[in-house]
Amino acid sequence: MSTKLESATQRLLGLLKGAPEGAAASPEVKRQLAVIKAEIKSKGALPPELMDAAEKLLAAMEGEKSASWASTPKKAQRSAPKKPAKKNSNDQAILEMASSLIAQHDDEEDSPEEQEHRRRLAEALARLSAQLQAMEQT
Amino acid sequence: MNVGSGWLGPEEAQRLLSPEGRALAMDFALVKNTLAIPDETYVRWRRAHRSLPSSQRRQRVIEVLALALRFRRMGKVANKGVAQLLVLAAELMVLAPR
Repeated sequence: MSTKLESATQRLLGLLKGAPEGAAASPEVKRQLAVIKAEIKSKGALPPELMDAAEKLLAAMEGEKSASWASTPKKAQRSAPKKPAKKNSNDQAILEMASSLIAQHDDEEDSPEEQEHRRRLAEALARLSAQLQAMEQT
Repeated sequence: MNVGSGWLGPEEAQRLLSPEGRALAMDFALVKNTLAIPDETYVRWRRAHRSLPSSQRRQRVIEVLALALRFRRMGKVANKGVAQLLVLAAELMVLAPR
Protein backbone atom coordinates (compact mmCIF):
# COMPACT_ATOMS: atom_id res chain seq x y z
CA MET A 1 0.00 0.00 0.00
CA SER A 2 1.41 3.38 -0.89
CA THR A 3 2.26 5.79 1.90
CA LYS A 4 -0.36 8.22 0.64
CA LEU A 5 -3.10 5.62 0.64
CA GLU A 6 -1.95 4.35 4.03
CA SER A 7 -2.10 7.83 5.46
CA ALA A 8 -5.55 8.46 4.01
CA THR A 9 -6.80 5.14 5.37
CA GLN A 10 -5.45 5.93 8.83
CA ARG A 11 -7.09 9.32 8.75
CA LEU A 12 -10.41 7.82 7.71
CA LEU A 13 -10.20 5.16 10.41
CA GLY A 14 -9.40 7.82 12.95
CA LEU A 15 -12.38 9.87 11.91
CA LEU A 16 -14.66 6.84 11.97
CA LYS A 17 -13.52 6.07 15.50
CA GLY A 18 -14.15 9.65 16.48
CA ALA A 19 -10.48 10.24 17.22
CA PRO A 20 -9.08 13.75 16.86
CA GLU A 21 -8.04 14.48 13.30
CA GLY A 22 -4.44 14.99 14.33
CA ALA A 23 -4.13 11.61 15.96
CA ALA A 24 -4.41 9.71 12.72
CA ALA A 25 -2.50 12.26 10.72
CA SER A 26 0.76 12.15 12.72
CA PRO A 27 2.99 10.47 10.13
CA GLU A 28 1.80 12.87 7.46
CA VAL A 29 2.17 15.84 9.81
CA LYS A 30 5.70 14.74 10.70
CA ARG A 31 6.51 14.50 7.04
CA GLN A 32 5.09 17.95 6.31
CA LEU A 33 6.96 19.46 9.25
CA ALA A 34 10.18 17.90 7.99
CA VAL A 35 9.51 19.35 4.52
CA ILE A 36 8.96 22.85 5.92
CA LYS A 37 12.11 22.69 8.02
CA ALA A 38 14.19 21.30 5.18
CA GLU A 39 12.94 24.04 2.87
CA ILE A 40 13.78 26.76 5.36
CA LYS A 41 17.18 25.23 6.07
CA SER A 42 18.11 24.93 2.43
CA LYS A 43 16.62 28.16 1.05
CA GLY A 44 16.56 30.24 4.19
CA ALA A 45 13.16 31.47 3.14
CA LEU A 46 9.48 30.70 2.98
CA PRO A 47 7.60 30.71 -0.33
CA PRO A 48 7.43 34.33 -1.59
CA GLU A 49 3.61 34.30 -1.73
CA LEU A 50 3.53 33.68 2.01
CA MET A 51 5.86 36.59 2.71
CA ASP A 52 3.70 38.75 0.42
CA ALA A 53 0.55 37.66 2.22
CA ALA A 54 2.15 38.37 5.59
CA GLU A 55 3.22 41.83 4.44
CA LYS A 56 -0.29 42.57 3.18
CA LEU A 57 -1.74 41.38 6.45
CA LEU A 58 0.55 43.68 8.39
CA ALA A 59 -0.13 46.57 6.01
CA ALA A 60 -3.86 46.03 6.52
CA MET A 61 -3.34 46.15 10.27
CA GLU A 62 -1.29 49.31 9.95
CA GLY A 63 -3.84 50.92 7.68
CA GLU A 64 -6.64 49.98 9.99
CA LYS A 65 -5.24 51.62 13.07
CA SER A 66 -5.46 55.36 13.20
CA ALA A 67 -2.65 56.33 15.55
CA SER A 68 -0.40 53.51 16.63
CA TRP A 69 -0.43 49.81 17.23
CA ALA A 70 -0.81 50.55 20.89
CA SER A 71 -3.95 52.59 20.37
CA THR A 72 -6.55 53.22 23.03
CA PRO A 73 -9.50 50.85 23.23
CA LYS A 74 -11.96 53.41 21.87
CA LYS A 75 -9.74 54.12 18.90
CA ALA A 76 -9.28 50.44 18.33
CA GLN A 77 -13.02 49.91 18.40
CA ARG A 78 -13.64 52.77 15.98
CA SER A 79 -11.05 51.47 13.57
CA ALA A 80 -12.21 47.87 13.66
CA PRO A 81 -13.60 46.50 10.40
CA LYS A 82 -17.25 47.48 10.01
CA LYS A 83 -18.29 44.13 8.71
CA PRO A 84 -16.15 41.44 10.32
CA ALA A 85 -15.61 38.49 8.08
CA LYS A 86 -17.44 35.32 8.94
CA LYS A 87 -15.08 33.17 10.95
CA ASN A 88 -14.50 29.57 10.06
CA SER A 89 -14.58 27.24 13.01
CA ASN A 90 -10.89 26.38 12.87
CA ASP A 91 -9.82 30.01 12.90
CA GLN A 92 -12.20 30.56 15.77
CA ALA A 93 -10.51 27.68 17.60
CA ILE A 94 -7.11 29.23 16.92
CA LEU A 95 -8.30 32.59 18.23
CA GLU A 96 -9.65 30.99 21.39
CA MET A 97 -6.39 29.13 21.91
CA ALA A 98 -4.40 32.33 21.38
CA SER A 99 -6.64 34.16 23.85
CA SER A 100 -6.00 31.48 26.44
CA LEU A 101 -2.25 31.80 25.83
CA ILE A 102 -2.51 35.52 26.52
CA ALA A 103 -4.50 34.89 29.67
CA GLN A 104 -1.79 32.62 31.08
CA HIS A 105 0.50 34.48 33.44
CA ASP A 106 2.35 34.16 36.70
CA ASP A 107 0.86 35.93 39.72
CA GLU A 108 3.96 38.05 40.02
CA GLU A 109 3.42 39.25 36.45
CA ASP A 110 -0.07 40.50 37.23
CA SER A 111 0.82 44.14 37.67
CA PRO A 112 -1.52 46.83 36.29
CA GLU A 113 0.98 47.36 33.47
CA GLU A 114 0.87 43.68 32.60
CA GLN A 115 -2.91 43.66 32.71
CA GLU A 116 -2.98 46.62 30.34
CA HIS A 117 -0.47 44.91 28.08
CA ARG A 118 -2.60 41.76 27.94
CA ARG A 119 -5.68 43.81 27.17
CA ARG A 120 -3.95 45.53 24.25
CA LEU A 121 -2.56 42.21 23.13
CA ALA A 122 -6.04 40.67 23.08
CA GLU A 123 -7.31 43.59 21.00
CA ALA A 124 -4.48 43.30 18.52
CA LEU A 125 -5.05 39.58 18.29
CA ALA A 126 -8.75 40.02 17.55
CA ARG A 127 -7.97 42.55 14.81
CA LEU A 128 -5.28 40.29 13.40
CA SER A 129 -7.68 37.37 13.31
CA ALA A 130 -10.34 39.50 11.58
CA GLN A 131 -7.83 40.66 8.97
CA LEU A 132 -6.69 37.12 8.40
CA GLN A 133 -10.27 36.08 7.72
CA ALA A 134 -10.88 39.08 5.48
CA MET A 135 -7.72 38.35 3.52
CA GLU A 136 -8.76 34.77 3.02
CA GLN A 137 -12.12 35.80 1.59
CA THR A 138 -10.64 38.21 -0.96
CA MET B 1 24.38 38.26 -0.74
CA ASN B 2 25.50 34.84 -1.85
CA VAL B 3 23.01 32.27 -0.71
CA GLY B 4 22.68 28.70 -1.87
CA SER B 5 23.13 28.27 -5.56
CA GLY B 6 23.71 31.87 -6.59
CA TRP B 7 23.67 35.58 -5.98
CA LEU B 8 20.42 37.12 -4.92
CA GLY B 9 19.23 40.59 -5.80
CA PRO B 10 18.43 43.03 -2.99
CA GLU B 11 14.70 42.34 -3.26
CA GLU B 12 15.13 38.59 -3.04
CA ALA B 13 17.65 38.92 -0.24
CA GLN B 14 15.08 40.86 1.76
CA ARG B 15 12.70 37.94 1.50
CA LEU B 16 15.07 35.68 3.37
CA LEU B 17 14.17 34.79 6.91
CA SER B 18 16.41 36.20 9.59
CA PRO B 19 18.40 33.66 11.63
CA GLU B 20 15.84 34.17 14.40
CA GLY B 21 12.94 33.61 12.01
CA ARG B 22 14.54 30.37 10.91
CA ALA B 23 15.19 29.35 14.50
CA LEU B 24 11.54 29.97 15.34
CA ALA B 25 10.46 27.59 12.58
CA MET B 26 13.00 24.99 13.72
CA ASP B 27 11.56 25.11 17.24
CA PHE B 28 8.29 23.62 16.02
CA ALA B 29 7.76 20.06 17.11
CA LEU B 30 5.02 17.48 16.99
CA VAL B 31 4.26 16.44 20.54
CA LYS B 32 1.20 14.39 21.45
CA ASN B 33 -0.34 15.09 18.07
CA THR B 34 0.00 18.81 18.51
CA LEU B 35 2.26 20.81 16.28
CA ALA B 36 3.58 23.73 18.28
CA ILE B 37 6.55 25.39 19.92
CA PRO B 38 7.28 23.70 23.26
CA ASP B 39 5.84 25.81 26.10
CA GLU B 40 9.16 26.81 27.69
CA THR B 41 10.63 27.75 24.34
CA TYR B 42 7.55 29.77 23.50
CA VAL B 43 7.91 31.73 26.76
CA ARG B 44 11.55 32.42 25.87
CA TRP B 45 10.51 33.76 22.46
CA ARG B 46 7.97 36.08 24.03
CA ARG B 47 10.58 37.43 26.43
CA ALA B 48 13.11 37.82 23.64
CA HIS B 49 10.61 39.74 21.53
CA ARG B 50 9.89 42.16 24.34
CA SER B 51 13.49 43.26 24.21
CA LEU B 52 13.76 43.27 20.43
CA PRO B 53 14.85 46.66 19.08
CA SER B 54 11.92 48.44 17.48
CA SER B 55 13.83 48.72 14.20
CA GLN B 56 13.68 44.93 13.87
CA ARG B 57 10.10 44.40 14.97
CA ARG B 58 8.32 45.02 11.69
CA GLN B 59 10.42 42.50 9.79
CA ARG B 60 9.98 39.99 12.59
CA VAL B 61 6.20 40.44 12.50
CA ILE B 62 6.21 39.65 8.79
CA GLU B 63 8.29 36.54 9.36
CA VAL B 64 6.13 35.36 12.22
CA LEU B 65 2.94 35.95 10.23
CA ALA B 66 4.36 34.14 7.20
CA LEU B 67 5.20 31.18 9.41
CA ALA B 68 1.69 31.29 10.88
CA LEU B 69 0.20 31.23 7.39
CA ARG B 70 2.44 28.30 6.46
CA PHE B 71 1.58 26.22 9.51
CA ARG B 72 -2.10 27.18 9.24
CA ARG B 73 -2.20 25.20 6.01
CA MET B 74 -1.55 22.06 8.02
CA GLY B 75 -4.96 22.18 9.64
CA LYS B 76 -6.18 21.55 13.15
CA VAL B 77 -3.09 19.69 14.27
CA ALA B 78 -1.15 22.98 14.07
CA ASN B 79 -3.76 25.13 15.81
CA LYS B 80 -1.70 25.62 18.95
CA GLY B 81 1.41 26.52 16.98
CA VAL B 82 -0.50 28.99 14.84
CA ALA B 83 -2.06 30.49 17.96
CA GLN B 84 1.41 30.88 19.49
CA LEU B 85 2.67 32.63 16.36
CA LEU B 86 -0.32 34.97 16.24
CA VAL B 87 0.29 35.94 19.86
CA LEU B 88 3.96 36.57 19.09
CA ALA B 89 3.00 38.74 16.11
CA ALA B 90 0.32 40.63 18.03
CA GLU B 91 2.74 41.23 20.86
CA LEU B 92 5.34 42.71 18.52
CA MET B 93 2.64 44.99 17.09
CA VAL B 94 1.52 46.16 20.50
CA LEU B 95 5.09 46.80 21.59
CA ALA B 96 6.07 48.70 18.46
CA PRO B 97 6.14 52.48 18.53
CA ARG B 98 4.62 54.57 15.75
